[in-house]
Amino acid sequence: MFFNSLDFLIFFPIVVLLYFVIPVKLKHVWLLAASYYFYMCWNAKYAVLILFSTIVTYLSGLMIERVKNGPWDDAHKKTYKNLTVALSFTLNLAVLFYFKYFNFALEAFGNLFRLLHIELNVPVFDILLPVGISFYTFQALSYTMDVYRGEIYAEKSFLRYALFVSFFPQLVAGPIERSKNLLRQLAVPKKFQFEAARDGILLMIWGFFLKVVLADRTAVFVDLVYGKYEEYGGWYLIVATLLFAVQVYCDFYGYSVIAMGAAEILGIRLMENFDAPYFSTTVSEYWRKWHISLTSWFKDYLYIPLGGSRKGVFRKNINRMIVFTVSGLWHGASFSFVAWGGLNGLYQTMGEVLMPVRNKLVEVLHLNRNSFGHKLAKMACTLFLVDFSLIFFRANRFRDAIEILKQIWTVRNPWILFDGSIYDCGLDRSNFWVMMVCIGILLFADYFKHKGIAVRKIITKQDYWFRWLVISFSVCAILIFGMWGTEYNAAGFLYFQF
Amino acid sequence: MKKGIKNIISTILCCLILLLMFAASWKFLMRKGSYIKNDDFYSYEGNYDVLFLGTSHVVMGVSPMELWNDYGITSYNLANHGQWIPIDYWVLKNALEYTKPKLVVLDIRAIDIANNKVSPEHVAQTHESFDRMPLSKTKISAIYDLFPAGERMEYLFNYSIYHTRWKEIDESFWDKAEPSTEKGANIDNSDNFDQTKIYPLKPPKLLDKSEMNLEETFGKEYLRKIIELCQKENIEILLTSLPYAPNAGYQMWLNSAQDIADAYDVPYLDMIVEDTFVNYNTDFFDEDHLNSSGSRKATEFLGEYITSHFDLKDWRDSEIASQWNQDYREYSDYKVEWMKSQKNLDAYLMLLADKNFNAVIEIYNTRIWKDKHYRNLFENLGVDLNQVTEDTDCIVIREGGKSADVINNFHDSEGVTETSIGQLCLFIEEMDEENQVKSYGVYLDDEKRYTAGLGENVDLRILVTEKDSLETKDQVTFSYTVKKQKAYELTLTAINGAPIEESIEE
Repeated sequence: MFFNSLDFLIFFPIVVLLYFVIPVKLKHVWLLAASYYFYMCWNAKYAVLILFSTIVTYLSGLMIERVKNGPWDDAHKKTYKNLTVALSFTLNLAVLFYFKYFNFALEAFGNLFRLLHIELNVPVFDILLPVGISFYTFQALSYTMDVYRGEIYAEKSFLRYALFVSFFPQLVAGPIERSKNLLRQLAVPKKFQFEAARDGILLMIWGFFLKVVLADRTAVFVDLVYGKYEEYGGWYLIVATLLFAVQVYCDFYGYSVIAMGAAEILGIRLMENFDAPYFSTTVSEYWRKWHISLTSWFKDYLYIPLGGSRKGVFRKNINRMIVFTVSGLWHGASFSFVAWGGLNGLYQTMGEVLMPVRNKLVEVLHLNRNSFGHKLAKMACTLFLVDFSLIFFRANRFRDAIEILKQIWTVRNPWILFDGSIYDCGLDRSNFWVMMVCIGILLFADYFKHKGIAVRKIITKQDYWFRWLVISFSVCAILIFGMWGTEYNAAGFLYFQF
Repeated sequence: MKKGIKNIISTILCCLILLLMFAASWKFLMRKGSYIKNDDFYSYEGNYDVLFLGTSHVVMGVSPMELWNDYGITSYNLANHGQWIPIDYWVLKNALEYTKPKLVVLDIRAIDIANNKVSPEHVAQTHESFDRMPLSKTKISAIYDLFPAGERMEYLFNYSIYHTRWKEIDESFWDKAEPSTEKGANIDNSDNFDQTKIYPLKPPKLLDKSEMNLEETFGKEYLRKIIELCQKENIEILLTSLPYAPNAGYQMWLNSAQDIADAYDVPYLDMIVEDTFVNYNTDFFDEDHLNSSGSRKATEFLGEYITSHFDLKDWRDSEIASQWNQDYREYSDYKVEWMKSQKNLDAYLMLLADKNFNAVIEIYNTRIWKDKHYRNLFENLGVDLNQVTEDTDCIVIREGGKSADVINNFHDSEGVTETSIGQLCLFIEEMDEENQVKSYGVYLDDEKRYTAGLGENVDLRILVTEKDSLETKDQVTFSYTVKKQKAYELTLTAINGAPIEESIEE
C-alpha cells in the first residue's frame, strides 16, 4: 500500500479513528495489526521477514540485558554481549543480503572470474526484493546496538517492540527511527490532540504535494530521457539530470513528510529526514541534511565503531569512504550505486585535501566568504557535484551511466531549451511550466526552512478563515495538478470514432 | 470542553469549504457531454414509453422530438456513440430504475463485438454513456462487468480523469452546459454544428438475408440478455438495423440478428433493404451515419412502424402535452438555429428537407441545375426536375412534408400567385439606373417577408417559414464563390436579415 493510493486514503482514517477510541492498553496492538496489514497489502508472505527480524532483535535486546545483569565478570559479559550483537547483525544482514544482494554478488563473482578468463555459469535467482527491508532491518539493528551501548533498556513487551519495527508510517521508506525516540513514544500513547492532528494534516498535504504533484511530474520527463538516453543527448540529459535531483528529493522527502504527518496525527513525532539539503554550501553539509536518519545511522553504527575521525586523517578518510560506499550499496544492489556513494565520499575527501588551496585562493583573491555571491557559488558547486553523482544513482547500470556522461559531453544541442523541443519529453508546455512553478514553491519553502522558519507554523498562526482556505485550496490544487488517475487525452475525447 | 466544541466546528467548516471547492472544481473540469445529452432523461419526472438504444447510428438517426410531434410518443434516445450492446444492456438496466417503458428499440449494429471490455479508443464515448449516470449499485455492477481492474476508477469517480483537463481550459469551460433539446439524440453530431455534411453513398450490394454469420460474440450474448431483461420486465422489444451501407461481411453479422429475434419471438426491423426510404445521395453524414435529412426519414419510418405494431398511447391530448410541446418548440428553435448557422447551400438544402418548414427558393443562376449534387438535393426536397426549364430563373415553392412546385420565369409572374403555401406576391422593389430590376420583394399571405434587398451577385435566395404558424424563420441569400481557383461552391453571402418586427417599424 502506497501513501498515494486510494487504499491508504481509506485505511489511514480508519486506523486513526479507532486508535483514539479504543482503550489505552490496546492501542499499540491496534497499531501493530494495522502496520502488518499495511505491509501485507504489498506481499503477505514477506511479513514473515519483519517478524523474523523483530524476534531476533527483540531476543538480542533481552539477552544483552540478561548478560549485563548476569553473574559473569566484565570480560565475559563483554564477550557474550559482543556475541549477541554479532549474532543479531549476522542473522539480520544475512536475510538482507539474500533478498537484496545475492544476485548482485553472484553476478559480481561471475564478472570477476570473467576478468580472469574463466567462464562461470552464474545462476540468477528470481528473488523479489521485499519492500522496505533495508529500512526496517537497520531500524531493528539500531535497537540491538542501543541496548548494547546501554542507551536504552531492553523492551519487555514483544508487541510494543514489534510495533517499533513495523510502525506503518515509516515502515517502507523511513525515516529510520531510533529506539530512543520511537520506542519511548510508543510506550506512552497520547490522547487525541487537535493541534497535533492539524499539524499532521498540514505535513501530509505538503508531502502529497511533493510526491504527487512534483516528484511524479518530474519523473515523467526523467524516465523518458533516461530510458532512451541514446536518443536524448546533450541538454536533454542535463535538464533530466537536474530534474532528477528534484525528483529524488521530492519523492523521498515527500514520503518522509507524509510519514511524519501520519505519525503526528497519531501523537508520535518522527525525526526530520531532510533539512533543505540543496541549500548546502558543501557536500558534507549536504550529507548532514539529506536523509538524515540514514546518514546518522551510518555515523553512529558504522563510522564511529570504525574509529571515526579519532585515528588520524588517513583513517578518517578511509572510514568515510567505507561509509559512503556501504551507503551506496544500501540504496541499491548495483555498482552504479557504489559509484554514487563512493563519489560522494571522494568529494568530501578531496574537499578536505584541497582545503588549504581553497583558503589560499580566497585570501589571495580577497573574497568575502559571507557574501551572498560566494555562498550562492558554493551552493551551485555543491548542487553540481551532488547532481553529477546522481547520474550514477539514476542510471540502471554503471555502464549506462558512463554512456550517459558521453552523451552529455558529445551532443551539442542547447537550442532545445528555446525551440520547444523540451516540451516533447513527456511533459507538454503546460505541464512543464506547472512543474517549474512547483519547483519555485519548493525553493521558497526550503529557503524558509533553511532560515529556520517553519511555514507550517506561519500558517497555523493565521486567522481560522485563512487556514481553512489554505488547506482547502492546497488539497484541491493537489487533486487537480497531481499525477494520479488516468491521463485525460484531449485528442481522444475530441475525436469521436462513432 | 469549549475548546473541543470550537475545534469540532472549525473542522466541520474547514471540511465544508474543502468539499465546496472540490465540487466546484469537479463541475468546472468535467466534460459536459454526458450531462448535455442525458440530463433531460434523469430530470424528467414522467414516464418514457419508448427507449432507443444502440450506437451512433441511433444517436444520429432517431429523433424522439419528431416522434412526439408526429405521433405523440414519449421517448428518449439513450443510444450513444460507440455504445456497444454490452453497454446498452447496463444503460437499459439503469434506465429501468427511472422509467418503465412499454417498448425498447435496440439497434444491433454492434452485434459483432467480440469482447465485453471497452477498448481504449472508445473510452471517451463510454464516458458519454456513464458520466451522467448517477452512482448506484447498477452503475457499479456495470463498471465491474465492463472494465478490467485498474480502469474502473475513471468511470466510478470521473474526477480521476477530468482533473487533468486543467491544461485544456478555455473560454468554453465557463459556458453554462444546457441540456440538449433533442431528448438524447445528436442528429447534427453537434461537435461540428455549422458543418453538417452530405456524403453521397454508394448503395450497398445486398446479400440474401439468409446469409448469416452465426459465430457467437459478446454482442450476441448481451443482445440475448437485453431481450431476456425486457421479457422479464414485460417490456416489448424491437430490434432494428438503421440504414447504412455495410459490406458483405457485416451484412452477415446483421442478418444473424434475425436468428436471435426468431428464437425469442421478437420482431427485427431491417431497414437495409432494396426498396428503402433512404436517399443514398443526400441522406448520409458519412459512410456510416444518417444526416438530418436521413434521420427524419428514418424517424418517420420507425414512427409509422411502432405505432402500427405496438400499443402505444398518443399523449398529445393529455396533461403532459404542454410540457412536451414546450420542449418541441425549443427543439424547433434549435433546428432553425442549426439551419441558420450553415455556410454552404448544400447543407442548408439538406436541412430544409424537413416537413415542418415551408420555403420559397428563388433561383437567379441556372448554373445550379448543371450540378448533380444540387439536383439531388432539390429532388430530395420534392422537386420534380422535369418541371424545371433549366435556362431561366425560377422559384421553387416547397411545402413541408409534401412535394415542391416550380414556377419558371417568375419575372413574368409578377403579381399574385396562389401556391401551396399561400398567396405569393412578387413585386419589383428596386430598379437600378438602367431600369433593370435590382430586387424583387416577396409578400406571402399579405405579409412582406424580406427585410433587405437582393444585393449584388446573388444567385439564390431562400425564405423559410414554419409550416403551421407561417412565421418567417429565415431569409438568406447565396452566391457562387471561387473555391481553390477551380471549383465553385455556393456559400452564404449575406447573413440572415434582421427580425421581421424591426423591418416593419422601419
